[in-house]
Amino acid sequence: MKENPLLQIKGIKKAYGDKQVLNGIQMTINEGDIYGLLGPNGVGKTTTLKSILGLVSVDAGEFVYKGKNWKGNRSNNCIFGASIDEPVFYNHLSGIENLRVFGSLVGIQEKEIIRIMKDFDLYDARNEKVKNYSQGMRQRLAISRVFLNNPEVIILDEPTNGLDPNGIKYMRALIRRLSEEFGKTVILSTHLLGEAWHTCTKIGIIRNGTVVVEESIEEVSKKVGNDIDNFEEFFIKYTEDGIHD
Amino acid sequence: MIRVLGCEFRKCTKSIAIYICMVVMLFVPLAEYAFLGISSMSNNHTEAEQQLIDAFAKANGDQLFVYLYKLLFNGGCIFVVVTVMAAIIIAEDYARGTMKYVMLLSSRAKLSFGKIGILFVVSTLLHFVGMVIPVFVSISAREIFYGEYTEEQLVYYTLLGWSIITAFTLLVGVIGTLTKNVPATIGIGLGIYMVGAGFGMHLPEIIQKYLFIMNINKIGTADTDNLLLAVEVSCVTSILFALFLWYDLRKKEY
Repeated sequence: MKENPLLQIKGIKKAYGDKQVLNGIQMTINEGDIYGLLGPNGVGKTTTLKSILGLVSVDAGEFVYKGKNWKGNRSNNCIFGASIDEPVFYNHLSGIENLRVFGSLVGIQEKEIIRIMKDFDLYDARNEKVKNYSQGMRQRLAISRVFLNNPEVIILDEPTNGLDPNGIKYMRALIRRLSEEFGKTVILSTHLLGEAWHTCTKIGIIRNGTVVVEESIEEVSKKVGNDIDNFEEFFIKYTEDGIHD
Repeated sequence: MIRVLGCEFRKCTKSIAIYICMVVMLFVPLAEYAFLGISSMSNNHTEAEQQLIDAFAKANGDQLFVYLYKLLFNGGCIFVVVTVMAAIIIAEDYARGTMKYVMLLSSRAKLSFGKIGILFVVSTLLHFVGMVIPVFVSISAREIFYGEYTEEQLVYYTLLGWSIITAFTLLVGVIGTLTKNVPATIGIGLGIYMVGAGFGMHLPEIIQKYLFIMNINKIGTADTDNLLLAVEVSCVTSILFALFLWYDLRKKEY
């Protein structure tokens, strides 16, 4: 696969007190990729995503966006859109009111909000209070919010958390749509291997604050014989202490 | 910048708390007056209450305005109301977890300006809503400006009250950004008010002069020169709190 780097993360380090959470993260995300950042819980996936977004400061390393050094400056807020951690909203407001509140920060027009809600099957529920939304609807509303600033890169942290099987299937299809239909580059973090296997075009496996494997899903499938069980073994090999060395 | 203010304004207008606070502010002077009236029916009221009740009975329009306006501050109700609103405006996004989403769509610098701006607007609004009944009663009463106070003094008292409330609101805003928690902000904010207003009386006069919360006592009593100093003290304190808020909201920007 031809490499066309959109975002490169070079040697990012971050410590919280004595705990080194990120220890020289290296990632290359190509334009149009659905990049899956995989790893067990607590290995630094969310911190990596937050550092890309500039929500946490890093101790060392650099971000290169379209060949230019970029230091987490959010002044150009059209680069990234994100749904980090559990998506939270103003629960006392309706879905559309939430998007109006967030949308007012980027000056989005009402007709654009309506179009986004239609794109993500929320139009009929637009006037319902968010506290009455199902988990799946909240995730879709989170993705709608991501679209408010029409970002080039979409970052999703554990996007299928808390969803039922139908919701997971819908979300996987939706993530593929983000890349195929809307032309976005997607970075998602997950500890669910099936999600990465069925959705991503490239994966990075993170262990002890370092990316130990970064390959396209095509390359991985060649290695594991296009079998998800073997993919699980592949993942375990690289995430269990001492085995891969 | 206008967008951030618009966003904060939209959030405020969708919050039921602001409407409850406005209704409370509207009726605070009347409620406190009614409380005085009820206490006058018993024989247990204090000498100070009796003096106030007698004063009300004989007051002209301007005196009535000052009595009712002072009730806004003396009962402490306005401090409770603005504390709640300031806590909601500053700490709510942190408490809900929505702060990271608003930060992705704007910069911390703009958000901090927006929050300070809307805090100022809301505290001003609540203060002037609290003045509606005192103004209405005073203009419908007999002989305004033939009593104890001149027009200039009334303007200064109002400015003083407004500046005290603004300074206090920004103080609560600072607490909100430090604690990032609504109940903690309200608790600490009101605690500071009660301790400041209570123990402030025992401080040397020179310190009292520069303690904005102690200026409450100057409403209705101070002459023009003292009022001017009191207004200046509150304004300078407000600016200091606003600068601290600005610095604290921005310090993680990189």
